[in-house]
Amino acid sequence: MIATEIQLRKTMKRLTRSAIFGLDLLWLLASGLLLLPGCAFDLVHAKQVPVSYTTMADPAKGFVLLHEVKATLGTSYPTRLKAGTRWRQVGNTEHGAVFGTQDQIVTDEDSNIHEARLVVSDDFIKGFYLPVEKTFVPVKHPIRIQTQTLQNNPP
Amino acid sequence: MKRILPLLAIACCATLLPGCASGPKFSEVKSSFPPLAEENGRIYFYRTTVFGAGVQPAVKLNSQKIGTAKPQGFFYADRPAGNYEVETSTEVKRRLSLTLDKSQTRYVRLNISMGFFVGHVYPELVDDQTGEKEICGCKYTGVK
Repeated sequence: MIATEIQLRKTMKRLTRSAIFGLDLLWLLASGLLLLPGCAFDLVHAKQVPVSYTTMADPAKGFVLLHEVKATLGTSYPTRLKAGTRWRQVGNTEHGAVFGTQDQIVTDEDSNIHEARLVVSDDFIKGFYLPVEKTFVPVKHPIRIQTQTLQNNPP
Repeated sequence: MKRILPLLAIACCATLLPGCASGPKFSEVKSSFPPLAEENGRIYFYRTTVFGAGVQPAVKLNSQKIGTAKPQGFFYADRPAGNYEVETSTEVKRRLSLTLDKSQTRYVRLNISMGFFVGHVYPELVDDQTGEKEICGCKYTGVK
């Protein structure tokens, strides 16, 4: 009889504990649901620095990218530049000349996605210029590119 | 078990189908859209996947609500050339910044990814060729 009573008490204690744990979990979930909506939640953030940008009135200088390039920004989303894409200079920054292309979509990705232009100096990719944010995003390490000069009509 | 499976299938359909877009297909309505004004560009927004059909956040363009991310649905916005920010909010906010030129058409695909509580819908800029191909199977939901 005593043994059964002890057993019963133990079971009751266990049940109460799991009920409390269940309630805690429910509160946690409810709080999460209440707090999370609307959060910016920018877990992955590419470094953006302010930059002075000047537009080129008449795009002239251009090149064809000879090999595919994977530009890493320190986020887990590299930007791929396809081989054979044609690039025309559209502006200048203190980090290098700014090139745009119509042969592919160029974006930088962190928690958000930003349309981007390529910044090149002395045959090295230095980073990307974000025309909406008006900022510069440096690549993790400058990347040497092999190019062919483009002289004909803009792409 | 054999009885449960069809019931589960019906339950899944009942959950997913009401959330899908139900308007006319892109190919049917495209010709009825007004031509672009000279100073404007056009941005198409579309969502191809039915996955996460219950998650249908509002789509904002420069903070103004312009539509809803309905599965297999599309809508468009004509805007003057300039810089734009597309935003979707579920349990988190996801943004896409893009430029729009005069007479230019751009395609924004509304993708879904796994989230903590619910899926995340995020806007992605795609090239014209991909956009033109993928939007064909989508149905017009209209703006707002």
